Amino acid sequence: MESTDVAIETTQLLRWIILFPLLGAILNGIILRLKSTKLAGIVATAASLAAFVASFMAVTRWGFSLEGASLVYDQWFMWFQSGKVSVPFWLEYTPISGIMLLVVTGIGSLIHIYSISYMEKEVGGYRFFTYLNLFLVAMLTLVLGSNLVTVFLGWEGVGLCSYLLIGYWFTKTENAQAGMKAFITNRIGDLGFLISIFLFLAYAGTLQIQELNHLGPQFFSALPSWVLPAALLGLFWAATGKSAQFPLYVWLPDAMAGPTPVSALIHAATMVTSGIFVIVRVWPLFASQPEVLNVVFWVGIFTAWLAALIALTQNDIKKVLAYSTVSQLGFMFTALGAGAPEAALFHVLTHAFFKALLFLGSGSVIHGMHHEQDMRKMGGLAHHMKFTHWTFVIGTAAIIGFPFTSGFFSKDLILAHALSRGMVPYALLLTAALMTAFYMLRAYSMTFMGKPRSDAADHAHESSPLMLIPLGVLSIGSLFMGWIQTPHFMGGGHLMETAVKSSWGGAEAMKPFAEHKISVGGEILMILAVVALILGVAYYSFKVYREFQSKKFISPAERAVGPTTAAPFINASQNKFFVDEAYDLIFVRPLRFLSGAFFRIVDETGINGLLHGMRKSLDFSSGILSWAHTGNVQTYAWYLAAGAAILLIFVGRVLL
Amino acid sequence: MNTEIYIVTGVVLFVLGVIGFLSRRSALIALMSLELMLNGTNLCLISFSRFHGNSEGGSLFLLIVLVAAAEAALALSILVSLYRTSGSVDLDDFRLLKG
Amino acid sequence: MQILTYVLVALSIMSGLGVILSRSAVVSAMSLMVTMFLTGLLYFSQGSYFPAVVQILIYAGAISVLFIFIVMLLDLKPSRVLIPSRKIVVFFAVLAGLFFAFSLMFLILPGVSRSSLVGELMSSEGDVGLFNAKSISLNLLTKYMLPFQATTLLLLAAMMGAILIGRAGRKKED
Repeated sequence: MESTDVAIETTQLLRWIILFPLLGAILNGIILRLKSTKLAGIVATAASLAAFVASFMAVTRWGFSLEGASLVYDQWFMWFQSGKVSVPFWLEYTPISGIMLLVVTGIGSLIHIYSISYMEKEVGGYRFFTYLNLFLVAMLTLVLGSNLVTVFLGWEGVGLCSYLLIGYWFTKTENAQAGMKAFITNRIGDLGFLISIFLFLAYAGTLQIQELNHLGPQFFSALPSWVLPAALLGLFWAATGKSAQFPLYVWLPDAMAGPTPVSALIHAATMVTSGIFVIVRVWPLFASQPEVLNVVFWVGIFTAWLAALIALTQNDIKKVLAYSTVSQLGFMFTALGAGAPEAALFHVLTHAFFKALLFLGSGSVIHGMHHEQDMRKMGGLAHHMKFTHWTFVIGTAAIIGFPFTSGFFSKDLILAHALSRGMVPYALLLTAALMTAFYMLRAYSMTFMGKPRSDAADHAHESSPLMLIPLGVLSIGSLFMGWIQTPHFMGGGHLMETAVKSSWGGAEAMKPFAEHKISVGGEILMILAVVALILGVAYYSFKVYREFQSKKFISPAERAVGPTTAAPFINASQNKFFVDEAYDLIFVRPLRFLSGAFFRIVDETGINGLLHGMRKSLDFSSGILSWAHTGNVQTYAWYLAAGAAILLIFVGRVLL
Repeated sequence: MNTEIYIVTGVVLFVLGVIGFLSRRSALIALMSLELMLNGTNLCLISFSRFHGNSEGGSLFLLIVLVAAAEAALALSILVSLYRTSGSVDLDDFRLLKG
Repeated sequence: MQILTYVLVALSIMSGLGVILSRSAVVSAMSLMVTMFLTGLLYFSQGSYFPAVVQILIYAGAISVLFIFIVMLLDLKPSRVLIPSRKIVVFFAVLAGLFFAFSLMFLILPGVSRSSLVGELMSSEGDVGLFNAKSISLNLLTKYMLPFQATTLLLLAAMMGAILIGRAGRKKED
């Protein structure tokens, strides 16, 4: 390490955080291969809890703000070294890593516990728990990695586990295809990560994140001006893949084909936020490039808006939550783009809680309904599943930003930062927030209110305590997690701000945009207005959809602008604005055509023709030669004699 | 001039072996012709060795005798098992070498 | 002495002809034995005593006897041995033989006749020192060590092969 002005602390604690789940995965997947899914789940949960304890120890040891400018490294081993490139497999503790550690292992453990019950009827469920532990390994590598290559290893690892788990029930073609879609879409994004790694390696000569942070904008300003923006846009492109932003968000809704605990853990709470996490880790570089941040900002707003619009009309409960996740991730990127990493990470944290809660709640509903996901067939579940109902209420309250729940704090922080960038983005983002309130209450009402609309809904049963305990814990988190970072006028915690600021190894990040100071009164007024609007929309949606009947129901849009004029919009929203179809037309079909053409021209005609031609000519010539091989010894003796005669003639000519 | 007669004899014996091997269809006779060829070669070898006045030819002669003995033993045992399985010693009957 | 050599030469060529011309396998085998014995005598007349002894012991004594033994063992009916050769093949074989004989002699003999050493060497009437067991074994154990060792392996392999092939044949009979 070149940074001599920074105190380095070494430890051997961090490796255990990764080793425990790895051990669990090896035990479950290779050694034990238990027939009983329950036992496999217990093994995996134990591994996950051990990782949680180790993470907790790490967090209590170093806390959420590293004093001064010290770096904490677990200098595990040298991964590889080639010429000037050396990639050590070092793990690094930063305050934001600490937050992510707690989220990943904490919520991860809860979801492990939940899965024991959710997957109990699964045959060969050890595979599921192996993947789940493997996911933890990869995610923790991503969180702890001290250089971009290690992070990339984790990045690819979570992608792999996501693929494996989406396609967990691979006997169904749609599930396998959804898995492949997620994998391929992520691969398109990963190209950006690789480009970024190569650029940093070529121009900065190092991949250690803190060294990059220390080199800072001053160093890069001496290089060609395109290098840093290109590298950062590469990272952002990778983030749009992993964190499901436009244009690469299309895989996340399909990823709901996986088991619901997976959707909660990977596709809501942890993996999809890794794009934001990586950007925050190199924030000092991002902060110096307002143009790049502008791209991030508008992509975030557009995604938040588009996904919310699609979520309005979805009928599959998990699809609603999936688009909601995309939308919320858009909020986080908006926060990044507005120059507020602490707001983005804060929303990551709160979102992890309430979205995991909502997903697990929907999982509980789906479990109680015998794997029915269509909300049109639900209804009236509040009576059958009281506990699930209340936790879902809490989750919904948190996500729409009900005052003093966790979502309230984080979302208002993002909205405030968006306002400082102008009225138009603010208005768009606010609309997205209102739409969130609308579709969440719609989902809630359709699921829990009204009368049961199917036999399954009529006979739905409450889930086992093993599933309800995680719901309860997450509810508490969703309610109170917001208090760690409160608006200035409330004077509460500033944990996020200090954590983020001390995560750059002592490097300073400039403010990318001029700050608009809003008076305390104005801020309060604004928050009150937002809350009033959100609650109004929420109440409207609640009232309308409470009376949802699948047959003679008129949707609010139809009610507002008339059935015929609203129909095209509803149709478009229900069909996800035909983005998948457009991709199919623009990318998939030309690629298929091209590969088909290449297959026919190059492979079949060219290579096969060459090979078959060679075989045929050999066949022909050997056919001629084999005539000479009669199999009779004396024939061969004649050949020998002929050869000897020729030799004799030759020798004679030479001698005489 | 004495050497010449030995060389001529060796060559004649060798050629007799060649003719026998090429023309006789009985495997047994063919093998005997083979021995005849080796014999002629040996005679030439020893005579040349004497002609040059060194004993190298004697050593080679011994080695050839050994190889010939090994060859005869193997070839004859193959012949015997061939005869047992097919009841024939006609070389034209055996086409096993054709793939 | 010279006359004796000529007689030996004539006899050995005649018995050689007997090998390839005879109508009976037994006669062929006996002719082969005679040829080898006569060749051994030719070595004697040349003065190469050690090769002569080896020739008579191994060739005439062992290998020829092996042939005769096999002929007896197989108990071949005359019709089986006496497979008439194709005339055209015989014709070409004789042609090839004549070519080989003349070309070899044409190539070798001029060099032999031109040498001045010929008379000298042959008149020394058996240089005992040249082909005695000592000089040959010195050669074999120093200069030709590797071929010599290889031959031992060859003999071992031939022996095992012969036994194996013989056994396999017997098994099939069972």
